[in-house]
Amino acid sequence: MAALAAGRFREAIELYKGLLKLERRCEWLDGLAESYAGRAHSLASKGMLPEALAVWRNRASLCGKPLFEGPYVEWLLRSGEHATAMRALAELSKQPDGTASELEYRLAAVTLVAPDSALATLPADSLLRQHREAALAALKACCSGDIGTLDEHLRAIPFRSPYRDLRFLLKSLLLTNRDPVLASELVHRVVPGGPFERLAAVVRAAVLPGKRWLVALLDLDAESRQLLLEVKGCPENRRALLLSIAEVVRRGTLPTSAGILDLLLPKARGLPAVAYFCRRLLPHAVQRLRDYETACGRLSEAEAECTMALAEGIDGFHASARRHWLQAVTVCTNDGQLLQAALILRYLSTRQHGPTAAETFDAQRAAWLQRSIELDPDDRATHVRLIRMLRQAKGLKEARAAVAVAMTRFVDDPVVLLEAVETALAGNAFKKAVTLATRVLELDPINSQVRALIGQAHLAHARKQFKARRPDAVSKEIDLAEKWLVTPGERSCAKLLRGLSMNTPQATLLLQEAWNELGGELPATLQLLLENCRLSGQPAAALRRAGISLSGVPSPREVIAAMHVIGTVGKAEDRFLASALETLHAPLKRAAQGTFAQADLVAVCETWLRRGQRSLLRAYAEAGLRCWPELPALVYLRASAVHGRDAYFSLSPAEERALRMAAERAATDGDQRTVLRIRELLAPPHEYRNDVDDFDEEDDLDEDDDDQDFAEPTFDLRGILEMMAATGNPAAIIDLARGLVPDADFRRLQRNAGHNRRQLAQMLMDYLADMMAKITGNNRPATPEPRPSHASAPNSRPADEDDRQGRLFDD
Amino acid sequence: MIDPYRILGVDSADADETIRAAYLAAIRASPPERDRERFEQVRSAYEAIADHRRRLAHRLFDCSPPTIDDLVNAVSSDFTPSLPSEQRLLRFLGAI
Repeated sequence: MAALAAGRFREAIELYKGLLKLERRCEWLDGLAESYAGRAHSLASKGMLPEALAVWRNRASLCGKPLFEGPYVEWLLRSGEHATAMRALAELSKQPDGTASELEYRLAAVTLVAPDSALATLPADSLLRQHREAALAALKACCSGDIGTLDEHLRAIPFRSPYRDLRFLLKSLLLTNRDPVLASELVHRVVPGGPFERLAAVVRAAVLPGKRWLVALLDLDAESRQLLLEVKGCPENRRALLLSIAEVVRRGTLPTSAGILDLLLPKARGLPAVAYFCRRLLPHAVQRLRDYETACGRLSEAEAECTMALAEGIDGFHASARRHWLQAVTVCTNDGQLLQAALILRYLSTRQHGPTAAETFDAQRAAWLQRSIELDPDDRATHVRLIRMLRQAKGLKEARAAVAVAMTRFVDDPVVLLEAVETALAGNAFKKAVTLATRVLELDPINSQVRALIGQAHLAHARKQFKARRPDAVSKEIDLAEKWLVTPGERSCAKLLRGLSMNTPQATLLLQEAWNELGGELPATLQLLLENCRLSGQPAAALRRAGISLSGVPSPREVIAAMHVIGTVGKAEDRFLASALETLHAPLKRAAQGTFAQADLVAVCETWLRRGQRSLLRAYAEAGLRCWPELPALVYLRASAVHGRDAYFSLSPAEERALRMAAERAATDGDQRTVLRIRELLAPPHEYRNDVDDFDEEDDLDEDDDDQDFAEPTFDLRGILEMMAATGNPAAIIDLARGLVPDADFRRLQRNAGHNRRQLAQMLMDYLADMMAKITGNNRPATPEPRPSHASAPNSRPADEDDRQGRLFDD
Repeated sequence: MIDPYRILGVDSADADETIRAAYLAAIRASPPERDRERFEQVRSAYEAIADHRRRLAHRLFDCSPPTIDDLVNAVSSDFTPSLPSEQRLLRFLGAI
């Protein structure tokens, strides 16, 4: 029994035979019959049908079991013994117990391929014989894709027919590629385990959506796989590859990029889609570049540079990536691929800072943008970016030049004209701004932004006239502004300006009226002080005229409204805002004790942080921490308020611990922004990192004279590396070391470190420390020292040696 | 490496108008209220390849890691599905 259960049928047969020689027990006889049946099935599954039939006959003769049961007749048909099979079927059909109809159903698939002569022995009323012709005709119609004829023939197969499964199956097969949803519905109506089950399994797999059919493919036998691949249209020379990919799909995880390339490259020749995919993968596995070129042909010089640049960028070697991009620009320019070169320059200019309106100025980026415009002057967005960048960097002369260039290309473009308006406004050329804005309005009459801009231009001009002591001109400009300003807030601001620009009782009334209209005491007072600062007036006098007292405690709602006002003040007016906030400092600080909603308080703190109001930020953050002591954002904001950019040097151990815990909580809450901000706060100031980057980029170290180059920066380099190690920045270490370590050694270390960048960084540091020791004769330990604790060195991070000196003298 | 061409069902050599038509058809098929994720995917895909400049930029700078779908698509995008022949199907039905 154990042998039978384990599928060792031959052994089971011998054992049962031995037992039966001792005594002819019924259970042993059944066991022998079962062993014979198992053996016969095993042989049939291997295609050894004659042997299976012989074993089945032994089962009948030795165990007294009926011959014509189970799969015997089907095996007869499949092995070509059609006459015997049909005789058996005819014999069985005379039995009244329904065995024959069940057998006919099971034999339906194989009967379709039996010769017509074999079926002649069946009785005329046999369903297997009656419906065979319709089934074959339907099959033919299905294979020729003729859905009308197929339907017609399928109607001739009734539900009681042994071929009934074909009614859904053939239609589903036909619709597999035309209407997979309907095909799926139809095939699911086929009863599993029927005579056409193998075909049904293929169709079920074929109608699966997306890539799921690949997983089902693996569950099929070899013949069924081939049929499914035919149905899907997979060419024969790609089937092995597709099966490998099916294994990947089943696992659900991709191999490494190099692994994918190893899989695809041998087959990529002559397959453009595969070759294109491999080329896009190359930056992730640049070590396969040679294999790629062998399989798909050489990359052009520009393509190779771009691939290397992307690869270096992915690995975090940004300086090296930049060099490759610039090399690609040179190559593309020389090859006449000007648009490509321009796009690379634009990409370089956006890599560190996004293309936002408020992007910081960088001469190098501006130069790249300018060059990109020379190469491709038709990209309006780049013109606009450059103008904004130059304008915000106060390079008004350059901005005006950029506007002139853009306007030659985009004469009647409202977006460019708007930039021209803004640039004119930034240069106090108000009349020009109004002229340009009027032109924008002619092109785009419903542009509300330009209406507001014209109004603001007139107001700005009015302020200019006020400073030039021309009261009539002031009034005239304000009148003109009022024609364009539409919102009540804007009109009240104009009224405020009119009130402040004159010193008459009527003007004072106007001032008070405007103040009342501006929505709450605090925001209105802030507006008034801002306007007063623009006119270079004394705050005390303006407050007195408007009858405002600063002794009260503003409500949280007023503070939030004031934040909205602050949000409308541009960077150019930062000094006016600072001055106005200085006057309002006391009431704003008192207002911090109010009951704010958590989100509102954080928003207020963010505003103070953005505007550099560290004292107010500290007051609000500390007030918030009293209500929500562990809120990560507030912990960060308070630390920023207290320490600012010097946090790395001045944080106490307790504050640092609190920040790290806050970062953990933020990470748990999914607040990645706060996590990154805290990490940034705990990292060394940018000056240090910039030094490293500049050193790496600018100093073109020659590998042949490393010794001379090393001698000078030895100590600083070690300090920088230690600092980088302490902040857990392996990419920066690798990037820096790449320019210093000879290429052969770098590659060797890279190989030794495998794909572990942290380990590579550590190995590079060890290498550099060894080199420094050799050059300077200083045998300091190679491993970086841990970051000094705040208790021992609170304010002097990089000066390790000085600290040691200090302790020596203390001792 | 989510392939925008595959998402929109267009070719890199197609004209701007063809790509826009494919985009409009795709968002009609998956409006945001029905399938937000698919809609966002379609929109991002269109933004990546809407015009020649963007298509070239995508080709130059896209280095997002590949997905399994990308891999499958690279190998199977040119398959032409077909029905088996009558003989092939009968042979299949007659085999063990």
